[in-house]
Amino acid sequence: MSPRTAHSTATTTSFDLVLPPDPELLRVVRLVASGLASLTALDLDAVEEVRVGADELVATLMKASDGASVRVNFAVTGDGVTISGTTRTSGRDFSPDPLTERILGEVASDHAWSTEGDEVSGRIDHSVPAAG
Amino acid sequence: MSDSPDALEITIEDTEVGHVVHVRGELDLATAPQLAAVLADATGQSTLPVVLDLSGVTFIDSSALRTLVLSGRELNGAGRKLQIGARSERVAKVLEITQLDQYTEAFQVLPDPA
Repeated sequence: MSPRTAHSTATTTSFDLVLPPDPELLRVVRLVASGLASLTALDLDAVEEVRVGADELVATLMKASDGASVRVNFAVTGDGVTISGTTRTSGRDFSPDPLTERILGEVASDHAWSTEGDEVSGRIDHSVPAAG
Repeated sequence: MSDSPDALEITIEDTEVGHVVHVRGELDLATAPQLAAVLADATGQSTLPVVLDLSGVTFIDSSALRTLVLSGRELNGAGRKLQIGARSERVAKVLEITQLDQYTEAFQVLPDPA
């Protein structure tokens, strides 16, 4: 884990976690996600939603992995938290679980999946509601 | 990591109304197979329902929900019912989000006694 700044113009903190596709490590992902979210203006319910979203994102990538590591980027921006991840697949058609889609549709402000070659990527955004 | 305090703990209680499976801890891609194994063992043991007590579950994700759906279908195929009884707020919330609390052929969500 190597903290760095200026990942993008709006990013204040960003770091990567590189994990083997071992489901036991999902607990680590959840811990990191909720810990990072707690540093923002997100309320407790929203922090829990970040924890849930991170689990769904990384579990999906672990299941899609051909054994390659899963690289997860955690970023705090002015708008909230963005978690993105990528891994290599064995060329199978990638399709996220409908239950995952339903959960992410509810807990994340936005989420997206993409594939390019033998790589699959996902991203979830959790925005801090505008004040007022 | 599986021996840490938050690891899944499953205990089974045979009662007059069914085979009650008490689950405590986190249900995710790593731990759901433990629950699947317990539910598979219950198949064919009797005709009474298998009742899940999820009141001690502190986290549940889609992998665990899928396990419940698949295990419920297997139990149905064996002439038994899977029922979800007591449940934590976290479990109730995820069942609501996924609408599995409204209808699934795989299991029945009982009124929460809590």
